[in-house]
Amino acid sequence: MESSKYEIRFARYDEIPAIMQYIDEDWKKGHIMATNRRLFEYEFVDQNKHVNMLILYNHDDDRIDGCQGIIKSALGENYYDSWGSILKVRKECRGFHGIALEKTVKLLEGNRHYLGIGQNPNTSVKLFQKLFKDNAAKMSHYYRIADLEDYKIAVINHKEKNSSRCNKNDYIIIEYSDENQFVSEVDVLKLRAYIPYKNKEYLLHRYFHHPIYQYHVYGIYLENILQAIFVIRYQPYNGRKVVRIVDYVGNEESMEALNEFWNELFKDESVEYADFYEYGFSEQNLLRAGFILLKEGDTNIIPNYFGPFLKENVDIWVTWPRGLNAKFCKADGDQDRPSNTF
Amino acid sequence: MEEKIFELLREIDEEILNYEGDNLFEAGLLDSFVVIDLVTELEDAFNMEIDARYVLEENFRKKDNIVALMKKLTKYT
Repeated sequence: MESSKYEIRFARYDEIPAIMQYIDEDWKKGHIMATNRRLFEYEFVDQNKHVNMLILYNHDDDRIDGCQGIIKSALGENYYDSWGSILKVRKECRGFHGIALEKTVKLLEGNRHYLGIGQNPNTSVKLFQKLFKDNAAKMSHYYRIADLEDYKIAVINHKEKNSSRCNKNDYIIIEYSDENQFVSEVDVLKLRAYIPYKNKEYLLHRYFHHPIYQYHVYGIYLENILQAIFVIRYQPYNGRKVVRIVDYVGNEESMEALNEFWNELFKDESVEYADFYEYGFSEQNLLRAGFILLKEGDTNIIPNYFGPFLKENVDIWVTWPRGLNAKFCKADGDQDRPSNTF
Repeated sequence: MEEKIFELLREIDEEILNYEGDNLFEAGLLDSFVVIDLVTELEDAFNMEIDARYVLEENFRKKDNIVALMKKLTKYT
């Protein structure tokens, strides 16, 4: 930047307390990223203690005036795709600092594709569309409800039937009980073919090492060959549970295997429904998996926020560079992040 | 060209045209999100795309800088 007052650079490990303090002051008092160091490090710190967060450093006042977190989709590699997280610049810092932070992330060496998820449609989405000419869209929200008498989490005004059937009867779904089993199996998936490219180390870190959430990772097998993995998280509320399908990586057509999975899930009578936020997956495959699409203005309500609970349908926006077939799932970037310290 | 640009700036805030200082951002008359809107307006008005590398603070600090940028860009398109 031309002004010597400000510098955009990666934060140092010893600056984490100052960043957390900045988030507390300027983003939201008591924000989990300001109060939970373990979660902060889980999201933004590499194994070599490199902090994946750019800061706008104000040399005159010797303080942090802005930040932009980067969540990599592939860990320990020379290139990766990434999602932005926590873009913030102090209001009194007039100028182009927010744009400068975003441009810097885009141009980072090794950052193949920079994607956005969960952005504000009036600010960040607009910026990405207009400045970088990115595509932008709302994620689709699919769900599958259990056949219950009443619903304490969702609001179900109409029960739609999806009578799609799975084309093949010989899928097997296996839950990986530990990370060693997962590591030995997942190599066969051609992960590099997808955008974002989620490597094994990312998946391991994301779903087996989370400091708060417990994820369940499953493999879909056909003729003993792993076709895809998917990840779920149980979200309890009000004496009931929701099954959040937060990631799906691999052969998309095998998603139809989920059609047989619902019966297993709904044996637990406290489970009200399963849901899946996505963008970029084929609607045909999603319907064949037994999902129902939550439509624009739908009178059914499939909540997304649980801390605090919000009984309303929620749009999640995504952005990605033009010309890419990018896919998005609920746990991408910082989206499936707890908002309370438990 | 100038009149067309000034018209767009007038629609944002008439004060921008009267401002004689050297930083519209410091004066609180522009911010980065307004600039993003302005870029779109300029693209439509001059039927061109403005690459992100030209969307720099220095090109939008004064109305004269905006005019200079557009003259430069239209010269090359």
